[in-house]
Amino acid sequence: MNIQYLSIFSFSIALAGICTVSIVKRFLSIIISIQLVIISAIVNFYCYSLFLYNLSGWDKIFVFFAVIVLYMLLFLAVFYNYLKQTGIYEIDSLSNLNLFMCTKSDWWGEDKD
Amino acid sequence: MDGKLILGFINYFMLTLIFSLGIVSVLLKNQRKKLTFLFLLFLCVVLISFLLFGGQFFIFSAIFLIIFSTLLILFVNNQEFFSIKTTLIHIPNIESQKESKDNDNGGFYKKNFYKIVNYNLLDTINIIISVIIIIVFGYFYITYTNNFFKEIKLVESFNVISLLALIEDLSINYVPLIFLIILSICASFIWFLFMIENRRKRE
Amino acid sequence: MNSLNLLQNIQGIINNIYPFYSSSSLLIVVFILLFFINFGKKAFKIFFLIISFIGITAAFFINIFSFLKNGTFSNYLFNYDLVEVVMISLVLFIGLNLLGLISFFNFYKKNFNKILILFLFSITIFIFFIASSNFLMLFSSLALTIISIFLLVTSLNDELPYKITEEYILKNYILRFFLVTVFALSLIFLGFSFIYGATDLKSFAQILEAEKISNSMAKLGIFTLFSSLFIFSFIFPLQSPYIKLLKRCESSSAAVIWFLYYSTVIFLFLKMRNVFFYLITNSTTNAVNGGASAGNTANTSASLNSNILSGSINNIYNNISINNIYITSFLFFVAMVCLIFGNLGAVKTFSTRRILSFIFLVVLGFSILSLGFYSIGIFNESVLVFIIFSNLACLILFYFPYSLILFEIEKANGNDRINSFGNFSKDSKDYLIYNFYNSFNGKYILINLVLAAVSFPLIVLFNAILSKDGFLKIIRLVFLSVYTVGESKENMQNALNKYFSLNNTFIYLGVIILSVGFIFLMYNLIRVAILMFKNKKLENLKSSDKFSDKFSDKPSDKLGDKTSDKNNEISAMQPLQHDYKNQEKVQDNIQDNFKFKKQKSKKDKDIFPKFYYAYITIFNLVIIYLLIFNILQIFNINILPFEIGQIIGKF
Repeated sequence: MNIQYLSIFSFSIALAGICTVSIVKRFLSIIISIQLVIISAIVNFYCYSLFLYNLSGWDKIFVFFAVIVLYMLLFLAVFYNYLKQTGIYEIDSLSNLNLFMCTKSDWWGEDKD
Repeated sequence: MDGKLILGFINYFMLTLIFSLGIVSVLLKNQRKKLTFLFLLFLCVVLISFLLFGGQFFIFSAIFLIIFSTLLILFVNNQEFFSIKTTLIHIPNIESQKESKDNDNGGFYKKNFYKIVNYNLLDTINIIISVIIIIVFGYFYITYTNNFFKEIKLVESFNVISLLALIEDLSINYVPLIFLIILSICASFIWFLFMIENRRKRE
Repeated sequence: MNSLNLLQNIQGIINNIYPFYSSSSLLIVVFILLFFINFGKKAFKIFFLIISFIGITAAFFINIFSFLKNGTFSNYLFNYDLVEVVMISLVLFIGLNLLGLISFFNFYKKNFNKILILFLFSITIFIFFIASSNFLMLFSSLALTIISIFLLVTSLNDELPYKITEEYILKNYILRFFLVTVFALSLIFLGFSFIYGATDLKSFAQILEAEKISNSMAKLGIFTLFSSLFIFSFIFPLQSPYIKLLKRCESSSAAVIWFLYYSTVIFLFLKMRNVFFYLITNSTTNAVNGGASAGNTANTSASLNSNILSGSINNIYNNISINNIYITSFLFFVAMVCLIFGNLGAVKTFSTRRILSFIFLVVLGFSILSLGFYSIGIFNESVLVFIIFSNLACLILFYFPYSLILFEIEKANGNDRINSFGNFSKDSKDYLIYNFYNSFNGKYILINLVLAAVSFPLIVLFNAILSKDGFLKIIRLVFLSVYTVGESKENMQNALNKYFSLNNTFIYLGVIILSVGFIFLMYNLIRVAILMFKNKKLENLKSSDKFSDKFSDKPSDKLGDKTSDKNNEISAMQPLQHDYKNQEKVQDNIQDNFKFKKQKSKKDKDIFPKFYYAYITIFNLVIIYLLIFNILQIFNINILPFEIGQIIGKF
């Protein structure tokens, strides 16, 4: 086990998450992409704690609280989406939620979208 | 020696699995298959946290994740099984039909060719920019952290703190944070109450 | 003895909870209100309002007096100093104004009580975030603040009389906005993991003291943190979720996003300000331009702190060195994009919501420009913090009354288009708005809007000028030919030569960006006020139909049906402002929600209650006072009993 290789693997997971977050349009895909970034951070914490610090408990406490608060927010977002569904499949699951897509109306003119 | 090699191999294998399961889960179109791969992903994360000796605290987070996963299952199944699957008919404005020369269908919907081209162009630009950004970040990460990994001093043996010590540390130092989380759970509970009440009225 | 012990115990508890007296008072209010949460009658709602008002006001004064009595506080999790006190005071002042705004637009909703409780929760959690210094506490309290803002925004945007398709569009944009914040939070989590890899230390102060920040892994973590801050702030080119949501959401939730959410972003930057200062001042890249030829010293805070009060004019240009050309260029570029594109976006549109959203980004751009001025050495650390606080305070003073008027007119009119505010059909019986625009009250509102629109950009500009004493002396010399007492002619001439030297490209660039942004902003604000009161005449249905057909997205328009009834004509992009006073008469049916009352009864003589006029007048008086104060400072006349430099130096 080499810490550099482990950190490169986890950084590649984070990059995959960042790349897919900016590309995908569906709600569930965005949630999954965000999970990848969170997982990469968790792996980082555990790796560095294991290889660099003796008997460190701070990373585990950090992961514990961070997972609770982040998943609480994700839970609320999913629950809100669940409550406000229209019952029509095309509207509910195929809506375009691309996070970083800009249209012309975001820069100039009236908002017709 | 063999044990360490095996452990290292399993770690790299798990991380590769996480990477590939994540990508597959994101790119699939069928929502139920996405969820299947997502759960496999969570399983791999729990396994790797045990392999990296962090599993004891991950149990509590895993419980929380299970609650989140249950909600995702409800959410996806509600869409897949209980929603109406019809294709919506988009009726265009009559004025725009008169303007387009290609429209010979007399009132039926025909997608404007230029709109499709613009839409896909934006998508491809988005993908290209994202890929360029991650290549640049990856390159800078490898070049700049090379020195860091050469200079660090690794521990001689892996030692893990006990669960009791962790809980003691938590209870002494992080009481305000626990209090804040309880407050926000109370606020969420109030929010749940009146959102569910309004949904019932809507239905 | 028992009572003594009890008193001692209470005193012990009170000492232990310092510095959270303000949040404790809010929690006591929440605890009291929880008993009455399900009582929906008007008397209980007024009781909720009064108790919340008292709670927030008490928290405001307790915060200030407790700091004056007990001083600074620091422990493993929290750090409480003058900057934190100012932040908490600003948040509580924002809370007071938001309380009013939420009540004006949501009083007749059934869940008004619950909305108020969620609002008080969000302010309480915000106070904990402001005081936190430990990474874990900072991250968790930030996430919990975002959660509370999400709960508040979603609850405010519930119970609106929307069609199903419009409701799902709004839901999607709310989700889009908050998913970006979740992504940014996960990036912060990743950034902290890199910092943990570099060092086991648990706060920014500890890392700077131990000088571990030069570690490449720590720099990677900090780069990730600042990039997540960029994503948090929805600056160009990532402004799409913010602009789209603010166009469609309920009025008071727009104010919640402007002031609660963006305050979180600004205060998060202020938490990381020492790291930013370290990166600027201790970078290895040196100045390129000759403007820093004489005595190319670094921007150390010690040397400049002495200059803020004494302000010898030669020292300004001796200390300017572009320490990190990449960061400086990036800051100037981002500021330029915000100022230019924010103003351009506001110029082209007639929607007041979009105009206000863009102008908010413009003012944010001014704060980013001040970061650029710091990196080239015109400002020092304390001046920069003062400018960020003063920009936020000016935004609060200006935006609350301005947006209150515009939201109320939007509610009365049914849409937020400026050029349709004055167009009324002969068939419409709504002479109320027409009469209002032609009355004394309407003209009073117009004058207030124009005064505020003129004063606000000037204050923002003068805050930047007055903060640097040397800058001010240059301006006095160049524009007023006033030689400052105590400076020799030679010194002044040398400084002028350096000021006009072609080598000071970044200074030139900064001044040009500042002036262009300022002129553009003033134009946009005055345009809104004037366009609103233009075309105050009765026109036919046909002209207003053409306008609404072009921009509305109703199914009836898609079918090419132009014979829609004027009273049911709504823009699909606009939230309807339902008349909740008559809610009992409205049947509990989705179709009934499509109807709305565009006009109030003819017995009501005015759109605005009397309280609005007092509110607008008081805020405008404060703005005009600040403007007069700034102008007199330029002529070296101080009307305050203390020097403003003394307060700035304490940050």
